Amino acid sequence: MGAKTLAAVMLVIAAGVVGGLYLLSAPHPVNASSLPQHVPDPANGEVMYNAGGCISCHKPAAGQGEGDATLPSGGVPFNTPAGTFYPPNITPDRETGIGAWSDANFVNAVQHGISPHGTHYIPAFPYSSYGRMRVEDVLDLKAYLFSLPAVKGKRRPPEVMLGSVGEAVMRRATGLWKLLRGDARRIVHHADESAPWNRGAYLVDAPGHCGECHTPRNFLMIPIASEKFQGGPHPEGKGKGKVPSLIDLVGRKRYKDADDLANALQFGETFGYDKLSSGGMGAVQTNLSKLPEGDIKAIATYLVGLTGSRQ
Amino acid sequence: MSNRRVLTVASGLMAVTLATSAVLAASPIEDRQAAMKAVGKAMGELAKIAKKEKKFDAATVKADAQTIHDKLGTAKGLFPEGSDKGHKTRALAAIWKDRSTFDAALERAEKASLAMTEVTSEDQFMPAMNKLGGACKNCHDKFRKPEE
Repeated sequence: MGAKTLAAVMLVIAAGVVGGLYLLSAPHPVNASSLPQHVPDPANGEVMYNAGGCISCHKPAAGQGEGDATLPSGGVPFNTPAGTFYPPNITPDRETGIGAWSDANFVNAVQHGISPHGTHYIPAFPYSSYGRMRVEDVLDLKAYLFSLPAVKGKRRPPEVMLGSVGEAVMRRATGLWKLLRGDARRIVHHADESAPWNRGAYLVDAPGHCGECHTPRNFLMIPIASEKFQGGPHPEGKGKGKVPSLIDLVGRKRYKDADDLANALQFGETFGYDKLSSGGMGAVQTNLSKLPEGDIKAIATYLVGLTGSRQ
Repeated sequence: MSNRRVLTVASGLMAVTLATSAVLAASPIEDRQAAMKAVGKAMGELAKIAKKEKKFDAATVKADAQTIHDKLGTAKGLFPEGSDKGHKTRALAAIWKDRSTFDAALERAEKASLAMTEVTSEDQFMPAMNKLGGACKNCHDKFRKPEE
């Protein structure tokens, strides 16, 4: 075989690999016909909205003119080691928000990380956790968002390496990341545990997406299942401290019991609990304080039960 | 003893004293941690009333609020440039990068604690506590690392 032939063969193989990866990374959105028949309940959607902490990332940037800070019109920068992202407007504005989205568009975005244009969302958006939600809860969330006033927002592309080319490559490569990560598993009901424990498990693992920061990730940025909730590096990078472990909170004397933790989640520093107001957790606590009391207690019940034996 | 010798001994003693006090006061980190600990303790007493574990009493509320106000007042001077290292600290570099926001956050807490010293009745207590707790949280969330 001559050098030229060899080069040609190598080129064909390389093209094959790139083409194969390209095909493998294709998004697979769900069809409208696969969605359940459901009459949406915006009140439950509001619970999902607060449990999911949507406002924390989708809030307007400070001083962004018309932005009402309580509405998720987007724009505040989210700094990560991979770049700076600007979470979009999720108010029902038809041009700059999600007002023109169908139910299927919304479910694909929130649960599968696929935009209405058929591209992958960067997983700074925690759709891996939201993928564990009941579809009905996601449709309720959409109904709640659609009940909010529509705000005109500004779209801002992320600041990543190599600009728009880097962004396109990163988005497509996210398809491969999704394959390696595996599909989000729905929350299993544990018959031997109480109703609050099961509710807490759902709120923590699905909408609450606690594991996105409290579970360490491997070098491919995939959460390590065997180290669930053992704490990890701060998502905004070095110099920000570490995200604490959620394992054995009572044994390690962080909280006296489930009621103590529930009080901390509900009232925070107003009740003298200062542990939940560092590293961004303050905003999470504000969101959680808006949940019905029963849900806050359910979260606390599940969390104090994380002692390492069953996580 | 000659005058010269007295002078030598005296200046020697003074040098030792200065060196000792310099070591004792060398760490604004430890000083501010002690101040914050005192704030936390007084806040814990107020929290007992908020949680209804203790009855509202205007005099003790005033005393605890005064402690918080005084300690926050001293804390202001305990975050000099460069005091993000040298001792274990949860202070974030953002304090020195965004000094004006930090100063404003500390001032907000000082004001909220001052307002708490002026609480005279039970129905004024919870609104004041919400403001004070909110001010503590506002600063901690932006400028303090999580506990390890």
